[in-house]
Amino acid sequence: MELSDYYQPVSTWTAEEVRVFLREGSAESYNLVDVRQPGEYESEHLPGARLIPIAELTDRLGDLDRSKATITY
Amino acid sequence: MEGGIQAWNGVVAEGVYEAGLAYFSRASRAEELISLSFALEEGNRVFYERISQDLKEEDAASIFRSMGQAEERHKETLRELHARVSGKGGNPAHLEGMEAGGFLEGGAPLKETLEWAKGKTLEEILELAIAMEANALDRYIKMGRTVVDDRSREVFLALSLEEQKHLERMTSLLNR
Repeated sequence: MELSDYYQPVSTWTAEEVRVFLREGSAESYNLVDVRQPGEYESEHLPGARLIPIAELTDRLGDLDRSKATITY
Repeated sequence: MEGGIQAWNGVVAEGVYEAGLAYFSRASRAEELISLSFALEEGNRVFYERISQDLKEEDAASIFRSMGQAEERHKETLRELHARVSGKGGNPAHLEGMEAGGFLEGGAPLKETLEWAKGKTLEEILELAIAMEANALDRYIKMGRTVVDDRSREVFLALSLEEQKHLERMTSLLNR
């Protein structure tokens, strides 16, 4: 992760915008990331979401394809 | 996503990441993932077929019947994929303790779930079916991400799109 990455604009979508985006796109076309804790993920998560707890996010950025849109919650 | 999961009013899956459902962690190779999927599709097929026989609402019964038929088509797709990956014909082998038709998506045992469904309302059964389909969607997306074989990935992702459509049918019936 480079310093300039901290200054990339990040847009916030509503749940409805996310729902439409997920419905219209293939699962291969985005990164959907649950940044909560494993127990919270286990109780419920969006179908297909990867679990990357926020504390691990910096170390696990390599798990994500930078060429795809990334949605986190 | 604004508001996080509290703002989400769509379907959700459950289970730990590695599992996605009970038994998922036992299956790691493409062949085993296919066997697992085949077993769960058979469980769902039987569930939908039995439920369709008990429902009094004909339009709902018809949707459950067609869901059962769709699961049979998924089994056929998986059978073909299994033959290609393993070089062996016939049904995919059982995973240990996981006979085809014994369990539903999410890991619930079929027999007990059919017992539970007796006397339940259509709404309660639909809520269960939606949870099952959400877990199937979750599982196929993760399987598509796990396998390295291109053809297996394509098949799992195609099945995930079908599960997405099933979810839409079920939720529209529930919201009617």
